[in-house]
Amino acid sequence: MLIKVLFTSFLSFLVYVSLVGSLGTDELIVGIIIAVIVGIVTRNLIVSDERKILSPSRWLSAVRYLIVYWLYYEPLAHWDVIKRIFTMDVRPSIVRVPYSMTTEYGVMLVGNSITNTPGTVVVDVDEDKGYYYVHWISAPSVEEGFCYNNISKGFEELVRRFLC
Amino acid sequence: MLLDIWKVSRLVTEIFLFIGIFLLVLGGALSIIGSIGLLRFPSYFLRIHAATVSVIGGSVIPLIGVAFLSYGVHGNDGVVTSLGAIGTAVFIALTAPVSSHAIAKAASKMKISRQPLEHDHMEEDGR
Repeated sequence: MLIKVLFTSFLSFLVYVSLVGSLGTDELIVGIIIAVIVGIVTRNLIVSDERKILSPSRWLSAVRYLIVYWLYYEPLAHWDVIKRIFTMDVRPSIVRVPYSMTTEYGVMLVGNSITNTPGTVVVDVDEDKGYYYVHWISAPSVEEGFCYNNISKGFEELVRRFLC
Repeated sequence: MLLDIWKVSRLVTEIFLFIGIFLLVLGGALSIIGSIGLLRFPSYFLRIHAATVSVIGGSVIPLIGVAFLSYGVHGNDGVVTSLGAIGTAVFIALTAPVSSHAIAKAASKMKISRQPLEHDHMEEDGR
């Protein structure tokens, strides 16, 4: 329980400091008090299993996800959509993309990753059957396996290492 | 030795300055391109893709640039501004897809025209 409170408090303290924009003593003291209260109240909402927080390999995988996502997938997707804006070469489809993530955080993060890369937007999620419905700006094929390989496989492989 | 450290730190702040300027200019260009896409794309759902270019390329990237620039110009005095810019960038990166999901789902529920569309698995599945 202590780890849950500490982790949640630390997160809310980081948000507080970055939004207040000051490192004065008064602000820090108020920040710590608020962060601890927030941490105690929301610990079970934010963290379900504290052992996962203590795993260094999960943290390393999260850093790897951030680096690969922002330095590889985002520039590639931006470049693709920029080309299509000028050439108007679009063949949009709404495709079914199966997912195999088991945690809510995992489904959320893979969905966010798909939407945050230009060219693919998650329109709906079918949690019972395990599908994202993705609006794809130019779909060469609408076969499920093809869509999975080209849209979400890379994200799932990265995210599964720290959110499963 | 002291001089070397001073030189290295000066070099680092110079590099940060240039990275910051580059990211700001890149963000400005992506904002404009995203806006052109918003005007040119023919359907609501396609415009969401152009809007993503503006949001991620035009807001998150310049904010990271501001973080670099603040440190490059003000040194240690600029760290708080850098942290604020990074915090805001993270906040936008986390919340932008949520709003995209919300407006895309709202548009599909309100039966806003999805045309042009080659295949529609949502319609096939009755959603």
